[in-house]
Amino acid sequence: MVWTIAFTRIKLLLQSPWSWAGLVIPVLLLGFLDLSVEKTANATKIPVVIVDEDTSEYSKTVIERVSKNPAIAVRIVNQDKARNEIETQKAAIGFLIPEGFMEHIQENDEDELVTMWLSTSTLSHGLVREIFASEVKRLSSNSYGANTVLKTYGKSEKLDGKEQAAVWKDAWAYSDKHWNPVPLMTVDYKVGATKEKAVASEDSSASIYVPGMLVLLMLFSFLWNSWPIKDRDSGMRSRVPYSVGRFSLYWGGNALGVLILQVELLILLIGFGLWKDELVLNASTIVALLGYVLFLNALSLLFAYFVHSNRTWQAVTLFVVLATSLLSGTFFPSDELSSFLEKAAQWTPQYWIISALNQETLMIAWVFVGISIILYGLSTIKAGDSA
Amino acid sequence: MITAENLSKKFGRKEVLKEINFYIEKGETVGVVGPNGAGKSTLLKIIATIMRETKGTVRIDGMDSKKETKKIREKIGYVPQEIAVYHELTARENLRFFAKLAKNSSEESWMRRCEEWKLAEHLDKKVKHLSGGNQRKLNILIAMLHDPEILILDEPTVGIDISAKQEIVNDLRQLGNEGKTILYSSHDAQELETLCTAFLILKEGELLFYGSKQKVRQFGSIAQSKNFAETLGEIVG
Repeated sequence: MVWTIAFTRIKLLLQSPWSWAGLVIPVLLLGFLDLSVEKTANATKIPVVIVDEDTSEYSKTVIERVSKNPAIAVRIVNQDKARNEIETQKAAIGFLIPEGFMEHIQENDEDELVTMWLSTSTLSHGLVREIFASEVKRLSSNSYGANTVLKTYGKSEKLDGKEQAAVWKDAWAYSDKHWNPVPLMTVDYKVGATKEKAVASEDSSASIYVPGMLVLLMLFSFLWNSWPIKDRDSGMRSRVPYSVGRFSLYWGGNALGVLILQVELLILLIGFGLWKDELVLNASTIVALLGYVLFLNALSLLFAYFVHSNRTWQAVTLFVVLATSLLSGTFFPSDELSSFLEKAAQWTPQYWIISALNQETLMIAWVFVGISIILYGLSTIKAGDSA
Repeated sequence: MITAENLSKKFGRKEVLKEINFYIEKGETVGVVGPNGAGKSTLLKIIATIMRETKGTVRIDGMDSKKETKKIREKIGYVPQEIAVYHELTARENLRFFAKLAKNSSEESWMRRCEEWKLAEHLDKKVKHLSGGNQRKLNILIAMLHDPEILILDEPTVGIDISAKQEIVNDLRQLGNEGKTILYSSHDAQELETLCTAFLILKEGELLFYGSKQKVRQFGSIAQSKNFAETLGEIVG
């Protein structure tokens, strides 16, 4: 019986093509916002052009590693275009990786491996040069180490050609492993602008993904949970419980229908996050997000009990979503607010879900579940009395 | 079949029903009449177990409505004043939904009833696209899905045209002939005269009159009323 009510609610919520679009729009919106932030972030990076004449494994490795640096935006072009972009100052710095780059490195010949072009207005060439040079040096050191190992032990161990190649490869990989970015110090910065956490990360550029996801989940939870208002106006809030015999079945069935849609939206948003490489998914993240979604469902249901018209509901939705999102520090650090507002931030669900995601703890998720049960109980009793 | 003993209902300090007593026989069609605010809807909701009385008892087939609510609800079909259906779904989807909730309702039986009530050809239309009359028919048919012995209707023909009203009254008369006990509240005297075999007249929460159509007519001849509507008006004062 509960499932009949739940699926009918889903059917009702997805009646028009617009409501179907409502499932996709949040993801599109998030994609659009993410793209906007990415473009803004790219605009602050140093534009670098690279000409790869070697097109070897080594040159590709250097380009790939340099591209990952959040401070620079790399484009691969041909030599003419590179020179043109440097002259016209579209690019700040250019690098030419000449033919034979890989061979020179393997032979430990480090003289004039790469050519660098500078634009006249470049102030940051020192930083970019260091970044690029360290990646070239990394390959060069690996090769030097591997050559040394082979020279020292290759003859004494009487290795054949195949074995020598394997030893060289192992030594190279061993040396390369030590270049993995294990920082000498950790940097304390705010993740999601909530709890302070020591994070060693290569990319600290801003992301709209997590805050955007939290806001959209809340917004749609409130929009979909307007059914108690409509049902009261149409008389269904009395009729359906009368038919099923128990008010809690009617209330719970409808809440379940909305919850199924919320979970579906969550899956789409998680999928987007994984695709964009913005989310690391593990058991605690999943449980925390499910707890958050359940809590939003219970909270919006209780709010819907108190509201008597659709217009008021829209205003309540807008107010709750905006106020909690701004206050919680989802978009900017809450400690930039006054101490009173900072304390108030701790009463928002977004504050706690971000804490749960940062700390990878299940405790907060269970608190969400516990509070949800209380809220469901409250709304069922209150609405049941007035039905 | 339906007994009310010293039935009272208060909303805060306001007494909406005052010590009401009556007994309704099985198979009777009782018109519940009275001016606005007389307590008609409250009385019907208490009998249907939707609302709790403040004092007194309602018994259906000897069962106390407070103690055996579930069993009593199986015997009752309640039609609210509003068209309480999902307007975004089709008539068929609504019937299927409520039939699933009612459990003991077969599609065959409600389809037969839809054909009798000339609703079958409109079943695949969304409720919001149905005429007012057909929406009202659907509202009643949903209450009858579990084949109740008692049908309680709270102004079921309000806001529809005369021909649609006529159709619904005829359909309800047919139900009365099948032996259903019907409680019917309305402000339309002609409709009440056609349909009802007895009348329960309320004013300001008090029971002014309860008796057969015959008794109403007798009262009319004493009061020298010209027609049935005038007689009802005379009783209400």
